[in-house]
Parts: sequence; structure tokens; C-alpha cells
Amino acid sequence: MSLSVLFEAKNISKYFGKSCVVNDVSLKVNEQEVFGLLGPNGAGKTTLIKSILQLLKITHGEYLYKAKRLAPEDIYRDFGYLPENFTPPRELTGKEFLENLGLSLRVASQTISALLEMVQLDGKKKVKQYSRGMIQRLGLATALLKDPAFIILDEPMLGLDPVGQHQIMSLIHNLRKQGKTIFFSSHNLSQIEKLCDRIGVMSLGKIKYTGGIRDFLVQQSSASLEDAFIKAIHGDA
Amino acid sequence: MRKIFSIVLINVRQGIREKTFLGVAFFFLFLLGVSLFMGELSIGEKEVALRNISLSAIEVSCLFLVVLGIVNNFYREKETRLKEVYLSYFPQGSYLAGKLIGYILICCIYIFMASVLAGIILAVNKAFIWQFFLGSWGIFLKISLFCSICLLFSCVFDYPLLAALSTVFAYVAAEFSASALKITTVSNNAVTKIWMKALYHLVPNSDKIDMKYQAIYGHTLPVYFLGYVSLYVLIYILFAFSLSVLVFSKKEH
Repeated sequence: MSLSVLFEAKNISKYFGKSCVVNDVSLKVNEQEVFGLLGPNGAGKTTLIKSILQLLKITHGEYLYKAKRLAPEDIYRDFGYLPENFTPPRELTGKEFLENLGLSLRVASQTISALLEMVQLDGKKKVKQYSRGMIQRLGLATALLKDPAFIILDEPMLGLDPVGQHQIMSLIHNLRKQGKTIFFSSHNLSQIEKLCDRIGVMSLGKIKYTGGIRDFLVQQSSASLEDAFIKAIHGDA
Repeated sequence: MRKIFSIVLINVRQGIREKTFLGVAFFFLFLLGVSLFMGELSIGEKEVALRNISLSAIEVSCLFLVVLGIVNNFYREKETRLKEVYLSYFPQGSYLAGKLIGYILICCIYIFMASVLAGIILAVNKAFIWQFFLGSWGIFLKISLFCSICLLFSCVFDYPLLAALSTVFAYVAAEFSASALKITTVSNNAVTKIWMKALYHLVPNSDKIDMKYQAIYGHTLPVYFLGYVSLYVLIYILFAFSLSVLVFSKKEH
């Protein structure tokens, strides 16, 4: 596996008024790895992700992409994003939505059909007829539409039943096999354990740990990720 | 340009399939029925009454489409986090331009369909004159302008109700903008005069854009006048759009 750094957050802080939501966060995501951002609700994961995408303005720090300061053009070109609880326009069919969005990038019709096939979705149905799991798979197809080098998934399995979760996990697994770099947030420990090469543990806006899962277990003297996680955030929750 | 077109297409497709569009269309049909009834009551003025109420029905129903459609769409995209996905694809200006052009197009489609239907009903009642479509053009200009104002309020306010109400208030203010100008001629108070004049120039001057009177009574308008009015609306739209982009860029999403 390549270890060259694709993306880096350096001393990121984000304040909303006087409240510090992200506190001096630094982390690196290597090329072709799956990086899991783990943290309880309210840890600041979504805020951090939104600030990566420049939807929120950071108070301190900087983001680097391919060793250069992250520019909006990098995001438009190379970043695929699936937000938490995403819903596309309900009156459009899945295929129409992808086709219309793909128009801006000159995405070929065959690519859209291949994407729909990959996420196992009937593109002829309107979005309002989709289940939550199908919408999430359409969201994943949306994130992959521009063939991104860096994929950001915010709680991709939130609100899904076990079958839906399994489908999304299989898709992420396939993307990993294809050599994509994936950054995803979750508070579901078993998902993180199954999918991630490295993790970042976040609590109350601070990064408590970044590195491999095994090292994390050793550091926390725990046999399971759940124990280690609880120990790491002990006193914060 | 492709980025803007992409958002336009998504918005138009979504907008004309939404229940809001259908609901407003039914409301228009109801008003059209009322116009027929009012026409029968207006003895000797049946044609004028039919044309007047038909054009007013198009304008009022389309204003509902703007207020309900744009506001609903804008805030729903925020709630469903669709906006975040768009903003990972497009710059903020392209996103807003796509939304504005999309909604102007939806209104254009609506006004065209409503005008054709009203025209047929007028023709059946022997009340149709070609100037009726001049009135429709005036409505289109006015509604396009309010699309940009509605977008601006949607960018400014965090609550949809505030954005919707502000658009309606702006519409009412624009309808009475001529009265503000009248006050400047009759008032002796210098401050009132300056204030009213500033207000007149700030709010859209609906009295200038409105061509209903000419359309109802079959008067024609010189081409240069139509050009000036269209240019005024275009400049106002660009002004409101620039403000929207400015406000939107200052906000966090």
C-alpha cells in the first residue's frame, strides 16, 4: 500500500462564537487508504467534514491536498461527498438526477449506467419511490460521479437497516479494492473495524488518537475497539 | 456555463413536477372560473373584465408559485443537505445562478401555459385581443424580478417563513411604489421627501413594468418602451442576484 499523504489537516480549529467545536485537529490521510473518523455524537465530525469541503470557514489551521493548500477547484474536481441524511430531488428519477448533475462534468451516459449497476439501483424509479437504503446508494453514486480521488462519507450507514448497512459496506469495500482513498465518519465501531486501515478518534472537538486499529488497542490496553474507544473518550462524554 | 445549466435542468424538472406547481395551476383555473363569472356580471364591460381578471389571475397565481416554490425548494435543499452536495460540485455563484434561471424558466413555462389557456377562453368569449400577450410579457418581467428578490431573501434569512413574507411585502411595496413618488410632490417635509424618493428608487417600480392596462384596453406600446422596461428588469435582477451571491458567500453552509 502506498503511504504518500493525499490529504492533511493541520491544526484545524473551528469556533461558533465562543464555542470551540473543532479544537486544533491535525490528521493525515494516505493515498488508497480507508480512514475512519470515529467519535460520539457531538464530537465535531460533521463540522470537520464540512470545513474540509469549505462549507464552513475554519478559524485556524489549513488543509493540504497533494501537498498544496486545498483550493475550491480541488474540491469541485477531485472530492466526492456523501452527507449524512442526504436526499436528492424527490420528483426526479435516480438516472435523471445523475445525468443532470453529470452534465456539468460531461459524464457519459454509459458511466452513469455503470454507476447505477454498481450500486444496484433501478434508475428509472423516482427518488420518492426509493427506500432509505436506495437513497443512500444513490448518494454514493452521486459521490462517485466525478470519479473522485478522495471520497468523503459522513455517517454513510446512519438510519439504515442491517441489509442496507451491509450493501453500503460492500460498496465501500469494493471502492477500497479499486484503490480509492476514503475518509468516512461513523460512531459505529464494528463498521470502522471492518473497513478502515487507519482511524482517528475524536471527542469534544479534539483528536484523541490517529493511527492503526491494533496500535490503538495496544495503547488503550484493550481487547476490543469498543473498550478502547470508551477508555479514550472517558471523562469527555 | 455547463455547471449552471446542470442546476437549471434539475430545478426545472423538479419544479414543474412538484405539487406546488400543480396546486398553483388549480388555483389559476379556479380564478379563471371566477373571471368568467365576473365577466357575466359586468354588463357592457364583459370583455374588459375577462381580460383584466385573467391577467390578474396569472400574476397572482405565479406570485404564489415564486413564493412557495423558490422558498420551499431553497430551504428543502438545505434540510436534505442536497445543497452541500451541489456546493461540492459547483462554485456558489453557479449554484445560485442555476437556481435563479431555473425558477425564471419555470415561471416562464407557467405564464406561457396560463396565457395560452386564458387566451383560448377569451377567444371563445370573443374577448381576445393580441395585446393580451403584451400583458403576459409584463407579468413575466415582473415575476422574474421577484424571483431574484425571493432568492435574495432566501439567502438572507434562516427561516423560510421570513423569506416568503418578505417577498410578499416587497411585492406589495413595489405595487405602491408610485404612491411614494406622489408623496414627494405633495409633502412639505424635506426628510420625508428624501426618504420616499430613496424608497421609490430602491423598491422595484411595478407601475413601470405593468402592462396590464394597455393589454386590457387594447393599446399598443412602442418597441423602445418594451426594451427599456426589459432592460430595467434585467439590471434589477443582476443587482439582486449580486447581493444574493454576496450574502450567500458570507454565510456558512
